[in-house]
Amino acid sequence: MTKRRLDDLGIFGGKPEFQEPVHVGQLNLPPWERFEEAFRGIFARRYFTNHGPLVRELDRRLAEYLGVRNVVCVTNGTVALMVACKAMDLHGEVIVPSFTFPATVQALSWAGLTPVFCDIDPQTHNISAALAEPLISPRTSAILGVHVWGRACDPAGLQRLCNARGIRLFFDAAHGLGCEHDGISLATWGDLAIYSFHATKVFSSAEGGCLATDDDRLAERVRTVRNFHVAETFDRVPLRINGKMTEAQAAMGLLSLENLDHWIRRNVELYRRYAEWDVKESVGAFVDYAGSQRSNHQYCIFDVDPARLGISRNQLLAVMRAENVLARRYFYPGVHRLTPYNLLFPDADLSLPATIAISERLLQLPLGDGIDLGTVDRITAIMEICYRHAGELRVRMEPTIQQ
Amino acid sequence: MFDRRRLSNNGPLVRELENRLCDLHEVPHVVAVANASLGLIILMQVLARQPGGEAIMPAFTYAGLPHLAQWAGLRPRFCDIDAFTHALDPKSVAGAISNETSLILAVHQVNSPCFVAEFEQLSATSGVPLIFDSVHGAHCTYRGRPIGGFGLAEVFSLHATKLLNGFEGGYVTTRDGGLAEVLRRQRNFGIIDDGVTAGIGMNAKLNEIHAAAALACLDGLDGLVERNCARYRAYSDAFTGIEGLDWVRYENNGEQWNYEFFLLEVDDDFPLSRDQAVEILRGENALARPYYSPPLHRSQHCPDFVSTPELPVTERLAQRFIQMPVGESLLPGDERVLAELFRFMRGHAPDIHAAFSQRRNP
Repeated sequence: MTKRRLDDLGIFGGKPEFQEPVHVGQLNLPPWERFEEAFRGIFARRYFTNHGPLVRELDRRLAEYLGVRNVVCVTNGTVALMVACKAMDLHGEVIVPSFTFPATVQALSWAGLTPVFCDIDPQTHNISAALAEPLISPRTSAILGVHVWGRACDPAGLQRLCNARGIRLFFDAAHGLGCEHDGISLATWGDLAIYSFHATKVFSSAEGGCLATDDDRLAERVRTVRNFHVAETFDRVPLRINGKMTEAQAAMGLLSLENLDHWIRRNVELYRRYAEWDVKESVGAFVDYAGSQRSNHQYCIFDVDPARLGISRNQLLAVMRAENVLARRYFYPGVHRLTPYNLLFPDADLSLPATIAISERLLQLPLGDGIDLGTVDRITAIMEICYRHAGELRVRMEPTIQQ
Repeated sequence: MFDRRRLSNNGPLVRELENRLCDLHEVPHVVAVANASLGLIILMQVLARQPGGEAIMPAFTYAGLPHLAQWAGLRPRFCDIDAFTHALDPKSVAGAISNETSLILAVHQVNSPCFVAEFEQLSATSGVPLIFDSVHGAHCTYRGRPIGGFGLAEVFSLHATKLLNGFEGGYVTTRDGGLAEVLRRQRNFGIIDDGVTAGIGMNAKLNEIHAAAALACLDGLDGLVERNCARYRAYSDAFTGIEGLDWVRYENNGEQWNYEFFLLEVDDDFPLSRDQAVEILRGENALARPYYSPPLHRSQHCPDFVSTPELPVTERLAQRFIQMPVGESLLPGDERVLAELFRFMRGHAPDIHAAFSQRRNP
């Protein structure tokens, strides 16, 4: 039965729209038969980890797909960033957005580096050369840009800036597999880019990630840092770690590659369904990918403007949760407000107004192979009720839910 | 796993694995991690008595340990080992403890748990946190109790070459519920609630596929240890009576062992050096390796800022042992073939020396 009135909503005692939780992550899976076949192969070879044949194949196939000379697969995206910092031998300060997943900044901390938080452009949700330039100090060794939602993070501008100032540039492209900027894969901008293959990403190896670079020497250093094996290059690196991807992860990655185009088409289809509703009602603004020639559309981000929707992001979130839609505040509250960075940089709020404003407004909605167009329609129907009855909803929610 | 679409993030298979491992080690808490190295990093980060201090560890061990201490913001401090157990010597450790000491990372060795009681005593009197690298202690006991319940926590590996094969993976055992809770948070970016973190965490999550593999191995663990034991006995029988060779024994003292390795000791009266013997073995496609050689304080892994200490026992042992091929791909009878190879070396030592020196100076 379609919900029409406020009393139908779960938050006011109605039956939740979904019996099972609807997740925001992609959670894409290959066909079971292909999975079974791949794992039979692994057990027949008895080769489970330590740079096995599937990992080497995935490195090669991804390099081809990303249009980059070298790909090195690792345990996960966080480890990829930690490895990157040591392979590049960074020191001192690194300029990084606060509007990102905490791991972007935590990886810098693990590598002994000091983050310097850069504000974002409220239109792109990304840092830019103009915003980063005033933050460069004599202690700055690099800028770590993040291609949030897979939308390019001013790579050409940042490259010009870094070249002029003699500092390194690398990118967190955790969201960006299959995305391009100016017709060029995100993998080739800067000295190096990392990707995440977490289960919630469009390309999944359960957990996993990789480093991509056109610099062969840097790739050799990356290979040395990511394990303790003696057979790697003997380029002196400051520190090493076990960051090896396994054959199981690589098998999943190779199957993801087979299905990637299908999953991206699926995301586009679902994303458009959300956007159609948005256009029809002209209430909010789904973060769009019009500026990118090629995007994976793996994030459906709803920018909640209370002046237009009538309710706040947190109110919409509470409504969604009560319907068993596990929408998320992505990224809230901004890494600079998380421990220990809030203690280390107590005045950071002052220099990050756009980060704070945007982190109060965005809501991530479900996409991916686990849902269908009908699910989208049911979610937008809930949003429609909120929109139509915003005034009353606000009054009924205000005692319990902070705006 | 497919039906649930659940591949990571503390899934049901990871939780089942943790519960089963609690039973195996007779501990109340197990926290599974992506690999033992990442587990050790977050454990050291959480427990270090003071940030930036020293982590006491042996140099006759896994090459990664000094790196892991540094990722946790600590400086490795190498101490010497006991000649019989190959594990950290409590006297050497006691002498190294100072205000700078952040923790003791003791390592259980292949043939023997380390001096658990002595270190627990030392930790209690000095206030220095004690943890164990127990990668080689899986399925073994100390004074009748399973390894896993000692110190503040112990770290095990689920690497493919270990007793339980989870492709890659590891886990931390502890009796401290508060510590377990902090580690669960730390392996998931330090997140406490909906994206809010309590500190600098990491992604050290074990995925469901790796957990499934480890669970399957756990079902066959007893059989696996029996086969290890049979292989160890076959090696022992085959190598009995070769002068100048000995091997690391699993003592028949009522304790439980995993019989994981066969470590051959090349004595001074064997006519070839340990390294020559390894080279000959590898020439025959037997993937033997020098065991913990060079020791870490003498290797390229040693960070520049660590002053190289005198570790006489470590240095002597690092020149003597060969890690012989083991595991499920070694065929019955291979042990005898390998022993014959050593008899051949013994019998043809002068010719072999001549061939080696001719190759060096052709």
